[in-house]
Amino acid sequence: MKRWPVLLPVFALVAAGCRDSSAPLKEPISGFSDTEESESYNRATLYTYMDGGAEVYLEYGFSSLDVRRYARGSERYLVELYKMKDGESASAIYTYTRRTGKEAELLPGCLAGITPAEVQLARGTYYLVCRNEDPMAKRSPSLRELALQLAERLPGDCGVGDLFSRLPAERRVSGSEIALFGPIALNVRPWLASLGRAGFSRGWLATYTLPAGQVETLLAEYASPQEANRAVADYKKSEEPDVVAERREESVVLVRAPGVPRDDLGSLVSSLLSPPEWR
Amino acid sequence: MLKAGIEALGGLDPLSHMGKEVVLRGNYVAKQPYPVTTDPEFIVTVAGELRQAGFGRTTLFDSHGTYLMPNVLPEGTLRKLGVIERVKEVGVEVVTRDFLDPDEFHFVRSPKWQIQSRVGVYKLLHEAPVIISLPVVKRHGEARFTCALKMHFGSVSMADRMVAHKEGHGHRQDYFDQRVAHFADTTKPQLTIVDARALLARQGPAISAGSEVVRGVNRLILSGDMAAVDAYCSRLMARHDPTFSVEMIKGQLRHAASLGLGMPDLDRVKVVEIQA
Repeated sequence: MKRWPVLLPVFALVAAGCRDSSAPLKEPISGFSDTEESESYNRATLYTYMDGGAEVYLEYGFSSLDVRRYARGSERYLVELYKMKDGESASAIYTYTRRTGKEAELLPGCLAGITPAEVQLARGTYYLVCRNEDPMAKRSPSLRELALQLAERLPGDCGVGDLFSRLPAERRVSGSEIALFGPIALNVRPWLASLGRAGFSRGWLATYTLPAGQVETLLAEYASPQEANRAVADYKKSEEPDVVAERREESVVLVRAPGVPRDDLGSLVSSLLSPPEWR
Repeated sequence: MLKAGIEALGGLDPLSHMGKEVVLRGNYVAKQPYPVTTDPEFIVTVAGELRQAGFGRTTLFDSHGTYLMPNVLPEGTLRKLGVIERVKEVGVEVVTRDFLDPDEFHFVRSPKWQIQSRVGVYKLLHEAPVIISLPVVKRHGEARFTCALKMHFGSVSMADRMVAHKEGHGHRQDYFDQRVAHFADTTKPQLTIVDARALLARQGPAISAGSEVVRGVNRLILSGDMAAVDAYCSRLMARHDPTFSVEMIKGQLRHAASLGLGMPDLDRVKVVEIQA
């Protein structure tokens, strides 16, 4: 008899954990039929779902993934619901995969990345991807409807919150920002190939519109000033064309500005290297 | 198109002198069709050419699972994609192996490797008289690109693959790049035939958020030189994927060249382009 008070809270915790991770995909979706058993993955098994693709999700704070497949008529849809460790991680992985100019409001106040074969968004601690199983599919209202029904079920806020508060807002192209939560994410741009990975912790990419043209910037944080210094020194050796590289303490700024005079970049570089409270 | 390419290489006779049995290696990293995985119709076409060239036995080998996990069985991906049924129709045998079973591996290392840990390569590949590799051209989260060289992560034990990912994680990209070359060195296919009718751009190696399938590329690339193949295919990718440059895999190509796996400088390679 004395065991019950100890055991019950443990069982309650386990049950709550299970319900939380699978709830948004648990109930049927109106107008769509399930076609296969659902699948679930955790940090240890994610590679079995996406061998070679898992590392970047782990870098961004992946917790678990539920996968379900749905059908309507002849169309087949794949739904991936990623539970990330917090809302910041969910927003960050969303920015890593979205494309500039491909966002639209799915729900009031909730931007989603929408292409003909895919709808993706971040809400609360979830990152949702709905995809037509045919990657060459034409735009389908059913895919958007599926994503909408699922997005409505997710708790929490949409949007990127204050993920990019480190970046100057003036002249920044909305939707161009990408949060980089680890060194693998630096593979997102070819002009970052020569940037040192050692000690890299976080980075923020964004595009700015200057009078002479558009430039893309990276603000990167390293674990120490020495590692930041080494990263800049090595990068300068690579002689990447059209890129300015500067450092202040642990922060590194790269600005890729093809066709833009270097004199025009000074204030942007300085602004990126200044903490927001100094601006 | 394939026949013209084989003829341009001088035919398959040089391979048939090495043996009459061929092992084909496809890319079956996920349960998604071409261009994520090797198209079974492409295997059927290659098998037809091999049969005409006098090869007596063709086997498709893959290892992308284990009997320890019911949802990741070694033949699971091939079965789901209909590969087994389709290639058996034309007499191609299908052999799968458990990627966690140490008895399946022969452990090797080369004095040329800077990382001296032994690597478990499948016995079946180690002992095969002729291996033909059939990669697809894709972006890859950690490797940045996968084609002829990276393909051979599927030729070695899962433990070695995991260690390469763990040790090479981000900060130590050079470790990972070295292992890409080492794993290819364990297998050294005599011929690589890349089916680049389409590419998987932006995100890979499976279709995931942000991926883009680029159709209409319409190339087959044939060579015995893995480094040259990857140099060529990475240029193709750079042409179609603005988020990629050849520079992103220069480390892999440099390590491959140092092991004698080929010549990544295409100015020093005879490239014959055929319209067929």
